[in-house]
Amino acid sequence: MRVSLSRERALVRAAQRGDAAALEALFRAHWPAAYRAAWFIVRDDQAAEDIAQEAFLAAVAALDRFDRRRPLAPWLRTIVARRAIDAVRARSLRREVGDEALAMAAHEDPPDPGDLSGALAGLPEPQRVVVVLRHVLGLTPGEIAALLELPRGTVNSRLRRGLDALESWAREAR
Amino acid sequence: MTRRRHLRPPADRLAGLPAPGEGEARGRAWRLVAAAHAARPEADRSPGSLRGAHRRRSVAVAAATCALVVAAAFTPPGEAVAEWVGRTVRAVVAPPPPRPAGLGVLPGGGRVLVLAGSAARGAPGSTGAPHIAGDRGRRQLLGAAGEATWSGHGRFVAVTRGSELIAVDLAGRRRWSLAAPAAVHGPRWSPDGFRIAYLAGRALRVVAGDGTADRLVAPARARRANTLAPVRLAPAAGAPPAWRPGPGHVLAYADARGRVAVVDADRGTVLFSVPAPAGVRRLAFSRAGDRLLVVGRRRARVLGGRSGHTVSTLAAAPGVENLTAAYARRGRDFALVRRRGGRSEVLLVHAAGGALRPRRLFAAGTLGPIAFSPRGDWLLVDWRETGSWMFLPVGGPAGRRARQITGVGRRFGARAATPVGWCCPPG
Repeated sequence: MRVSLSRERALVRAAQRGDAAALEALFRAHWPAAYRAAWFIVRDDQAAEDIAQEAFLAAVAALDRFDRRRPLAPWLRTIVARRAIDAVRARSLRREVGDEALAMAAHEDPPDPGDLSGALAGLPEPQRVVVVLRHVLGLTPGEIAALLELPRGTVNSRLRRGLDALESWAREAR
Repeated sequence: MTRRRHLRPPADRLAGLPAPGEGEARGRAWRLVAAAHAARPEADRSPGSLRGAHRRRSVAVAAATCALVVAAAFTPPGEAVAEWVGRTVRAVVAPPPPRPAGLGVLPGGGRVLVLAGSAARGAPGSTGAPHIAGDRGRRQLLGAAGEATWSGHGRFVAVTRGSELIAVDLAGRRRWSLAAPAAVHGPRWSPDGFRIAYLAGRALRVVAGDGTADRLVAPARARRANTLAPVRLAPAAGAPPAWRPGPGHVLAYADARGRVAVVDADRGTVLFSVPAPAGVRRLAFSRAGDRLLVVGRRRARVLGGRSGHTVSTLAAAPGVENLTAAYARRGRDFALVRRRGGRSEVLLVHAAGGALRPRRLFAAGTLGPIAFSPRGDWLLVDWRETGSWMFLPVGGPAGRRARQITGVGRRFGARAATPVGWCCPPG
């Protein structure tokens, strides 16, 4: 469910006054992208729930300080992206210290190559993260480069490789 | 229609892709978000009421300060009033609200060992399923267990189940188990990972980290007397044994005769034995092993970790009861949980020479176990009555705020989730 910018401003204003229905409308509008982005980055139901939920709780905590002239979605999505990236980086660090048992215990759902979700989940992590940030969260390559602390060219090349892989999958699926 | 959708390039279809678990997660998250929204302070909702709240706070602070001056001037100790004033000022000049946090990325990092069950730990006969929570989400290790403890390096967990002691790896695979002669309680893995101490009934036993060489700890003095009597301990509900960090396998325990003994668990020799404060709740060595904290019901006593001499004592005020304590990751400071009636508080006690300087970090209704983060910059407090965990900043960079994870039981599919250990210290 998409809401226009003017409608979103009205909802934010009402939520600031304590209107639960307005907050629910905002939640329904932004939850899918937040959860999906988190899930496709971390590939774990519970971690994705935590990340998306934490983003909304942070939004509620900062609701009264929020500048209503600005759109809510980019701000919320940046929180989601940062937390998801933090989770991925923390996981990578854990692998580096050689915790094999823990690595084996991580329950990552194996991607089902039969659908696009599976194909996306099956991309190498660097490409997957960039594709999700660009096409699920709608961040610009410049924003992604800043978030990941990468040169913009690297972001673009990962994006291109990821999308090429998905196009190949789509051609084979047809 | 379907054909047209499949002809769209994948990039255009990504934004609409559903993710597994999305619907259920949305319902749970919305309940929490709605509750957080409804719980916002009234002052947050209108600038006018915010100004009113500031005014009310200022008046209350002024009144409390006056009361403090009057109390100090006219009642020689003025202690009770001062404490009340302190509480009032802290309640009025409230710190910023805690930031909500998910379990996905814990403040302080690392992994928390959790027992999740139908009741908070400590209830008689309560059991819980051991889980690990951390940066990889949560995972259940075993079914219902009584107690659980990390291994020294955090690669294994020991759990109790009736008279069984079980070691599992982090994937939940059983590595070994042993059947003890009585119900097993209070398992504690030595910091180097080579020994586990536990209580079987009221006897203290030690087993090697690989499950072999299980034996009763019998101090040499008892052997010389040719009694071979097992070490009799305080009831199992009392303090579990504690390992001293450093070389060898040195163990402290509280016995049923009201003493604290420190023994070399490999040789069976008693290094020292000293009278313990009444009602020992907790034993803990400092990270360097040079201090042994003995927390009794009313007194917390700091002993020399190698000599047993009393370094300092912290006595509780009338009506106050000590519950548990934990040493910081570095140095000699420790955190202490106390209760007065239905209210509990967490103190950070700074140890400087022989002096102990407590500072209140947090106060609420019912508080449970505490644990320092692996780097020692956060203190996890189980806030039982709200079913949440508080993460309190301890030291580290200034300006950090407390964080709160709500609904922790639900996150583990249980009514209550009790943290029993936070792993692992770096290096």
